[in-house]
Amino acid sequence: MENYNSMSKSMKKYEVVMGLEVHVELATESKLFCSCSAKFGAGANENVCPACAGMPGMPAVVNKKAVELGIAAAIVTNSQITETMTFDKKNYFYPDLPTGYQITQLYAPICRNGWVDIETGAGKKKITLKQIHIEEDAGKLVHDGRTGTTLVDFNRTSVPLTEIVSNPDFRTAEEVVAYLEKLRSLLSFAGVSDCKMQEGSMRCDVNISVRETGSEQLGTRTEIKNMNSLRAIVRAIEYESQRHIEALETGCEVLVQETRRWDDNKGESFSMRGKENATDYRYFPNPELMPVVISEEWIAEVRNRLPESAQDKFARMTEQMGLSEYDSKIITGSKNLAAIFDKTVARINKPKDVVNWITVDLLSIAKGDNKGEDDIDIDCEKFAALISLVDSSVINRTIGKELLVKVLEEKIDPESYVKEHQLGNITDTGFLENLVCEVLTEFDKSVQEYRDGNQKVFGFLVGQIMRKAEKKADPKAVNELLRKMLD
Amino acid sequence: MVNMIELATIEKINLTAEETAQLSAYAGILEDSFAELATADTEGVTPLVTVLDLKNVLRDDIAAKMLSREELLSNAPEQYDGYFQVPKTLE
Amino acid sequence: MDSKIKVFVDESIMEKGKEACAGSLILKGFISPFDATAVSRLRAEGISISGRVPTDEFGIGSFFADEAEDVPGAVKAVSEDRSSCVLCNDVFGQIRRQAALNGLSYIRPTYGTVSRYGLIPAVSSMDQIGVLCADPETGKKLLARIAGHDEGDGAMFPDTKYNYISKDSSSQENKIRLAVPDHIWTESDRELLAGLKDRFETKSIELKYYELYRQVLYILSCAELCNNTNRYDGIKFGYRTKNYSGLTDLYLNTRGEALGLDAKLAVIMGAFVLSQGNYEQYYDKAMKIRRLIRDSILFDDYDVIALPVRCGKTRYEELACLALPALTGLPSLTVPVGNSGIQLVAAGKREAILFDAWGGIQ
Repeated sequence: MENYNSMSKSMKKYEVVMGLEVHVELATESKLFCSCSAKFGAGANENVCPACAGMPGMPAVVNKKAVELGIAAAIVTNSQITETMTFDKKNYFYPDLPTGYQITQLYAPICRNGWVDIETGAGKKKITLKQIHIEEDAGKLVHDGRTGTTLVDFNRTSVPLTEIVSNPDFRTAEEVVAYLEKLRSLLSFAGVSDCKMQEGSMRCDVNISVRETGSEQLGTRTEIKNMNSLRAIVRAIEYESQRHIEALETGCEVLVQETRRWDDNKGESFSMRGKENATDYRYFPNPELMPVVISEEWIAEVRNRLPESAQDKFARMTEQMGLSEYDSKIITGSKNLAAIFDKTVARINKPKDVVNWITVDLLSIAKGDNKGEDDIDIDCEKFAALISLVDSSVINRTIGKELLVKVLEEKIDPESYVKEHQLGNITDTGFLENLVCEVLTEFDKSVQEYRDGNQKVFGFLVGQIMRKAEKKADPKAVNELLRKMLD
Repeated sequence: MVNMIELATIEKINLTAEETAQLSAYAGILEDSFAELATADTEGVTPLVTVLDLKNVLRDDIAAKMLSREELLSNAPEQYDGYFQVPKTLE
Repeated sequence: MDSKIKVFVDESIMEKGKEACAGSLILKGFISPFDATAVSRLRAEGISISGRVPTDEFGIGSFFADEAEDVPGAVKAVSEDRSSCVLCNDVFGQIRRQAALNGLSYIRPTYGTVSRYGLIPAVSSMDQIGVLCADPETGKKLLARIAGHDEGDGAMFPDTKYNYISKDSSSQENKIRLAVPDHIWTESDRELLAGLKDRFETKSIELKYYELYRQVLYILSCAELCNNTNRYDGIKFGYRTKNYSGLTDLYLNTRGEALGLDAKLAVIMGAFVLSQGNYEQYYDKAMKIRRLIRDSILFDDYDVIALPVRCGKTRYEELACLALPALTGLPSLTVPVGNSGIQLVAAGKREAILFDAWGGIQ
């Protein structure tokens, strides 16, 4: 990650104070207020109905799953859940907002006053949350160079979001990154969202101000938007805090409370002209959405159904399964990897083997394919079968690694593939002995070297035997046989 | 005071001078009549948002496709390449 | 139901494949992609829609204009052909008032009993599809076919069916207890009530907060109208101005050219009452008074309230006697009597007693 020390030179007198607004897309099948698919990746305007295109006549009806995921988000952030939550309308005009208003929660959001524990190089810290509310997403605008116009896609309109609003507790970019990674872990493991910044299912706006260290008063605050990766967020924070500090020290610029857009290519933030910064949104309660009462029973139900958190899984892996902290950290660092681990271990109860196959083999294949750990898509039944074939010495590990690629890319069934292509270890001892004899004869000089005391030649001879066997031999058996035949 | 020009701008409605004058007159009558609201004692009264005493009206999370893109865009005044088309936005 | 009855809908009710413009130029060219639930339920019973009738722009009409009152399209249609009914949404009372003055009846059902799916929204917390008809009995049967829970509208009671027949016949046999707020009836119209004293047990009541009815109704409805019309921007459907170079012009001129004066007034007043500095003293206050109004109508020692259809000089003033059904969601049946009419209002979901009362008035 970036070198945070680059800020410290000018930071002697100043303290950077930041609050975050994180928007997270909820993992529902359908949208918040209509039954269109909420899935990412469809062609423009393919997941749109009259309601989310702003046509009249289709009243909004609340998605139950969205409420439950909101409850889950509240639980994992230790928030106080509002007993009766309601929805409000926020009015403004913009082409990505087809109804001219966003349904959000102003008066009674789903929860308040939670917190998230983070850890940075400086130690542990508690980030407190002001509130979390549920609201609908807006559409997407695409600028078309050829026609000089803006094109509007409503697929994302009305997709359910939770907005997680923190208090201004952040002081460094490192804390911000730690928080976002922790949020991602909490929410993805709870099944609330896949939190993929690159797909836009997790977005972060930073409210930043600077004050002299020791001051109780907050400085002028600017909001920065449009950071699409953790790296961009760090760069934006560094740039913006520098801009504030320079303005305070030299007066070259007057700081104004405003929203600014981060341009990662240019490495600068720009004032968002044209977007009304002090807009009166004319909020009022939405009369067609009935209040939602969140009972203790419902909360308990959601809590009981919560998947294992990353933290709990880490503890279980290290304490109960005896796995290393290093490996457990990798697995619990990604909901997807954790799911692959769980499903595979469920079929072949050998956690150590499974973890090795994932952290060593699966991840390196993915890296070669330029895929992240969240994007690995493997049939765990086949994966488990493959591991089992290697463990029971039906095939050796080298062949196993090659087959793993095929399981991933071609979705082969390992057992039938091994049979079909005769990839199994040679079990005929006689045949194997013949191979060994051939090698000992061919490389008699090496044999002599070994007898003279050169232990390293042993490995060379094993390699030659494996080559003759077209790799289809159990290395352990070959080792034993060779040793037997040499002595 | 009903600031007709400011409100018309917020609500993105172009008014002619004549309309502005006429509407200002009506708005004045309305605003004057609204002053009587203050005569009601609403201490401790919760605002009524809906006349219905219903709670938890929720929908199962099932996706369903209602319109094809063609059907959706058939009402569009301007469309391009599967999108609704508007003049360039400022950012 | 008599197959000779023709059912029309007004322009605020959507029919798949047909233009639905809710009386506004801004919806010109908008072809509904689906049927309103009311329409599809009738179709399912083999009843087709015979035609569409004009309506005021979003049902608003002119509150301050001096010219003679316009007769709503729905009233004209049924006046011309008394074997027809029109499904229409009457928030501000103009339809039921003109119905009575033209010898017709209007049923406004309990809020939450008829689906708003496919109704172009005016005031979401008050909109309900009602029936304009020559004979309330026919209207009642029509209503029974379209009323009932619909998943497409989240603001509905769970009841799946309403038959509007009294559970016991006591209200038909005994005298219905009729409450009359004398203080709001004009001298001349009070004569209409004279004949009713034999057939009903009448008592005098006072409608507390009556002097605030029109303001509360206007404030709440203009805010919702403003919000419900913010979607009309020329981008997705309907009217789009030809005079624009940038996005701002597109909005300003589309809405400026295509919204009528009365709609513009409602939109601007809506923005006014919702603006940050005004919200508490206007919108929030109106919502509180609405609760007081609703809680003041008890139906404890009366079954039906009789309201006039005339009570003022301008339409704005007249909102007072027409506001109660919209503000409270209570059902009302308006019937012609003499040279005017009477609005009967009953408790929620007690439409049956309205029809029994009408039987007594006839």
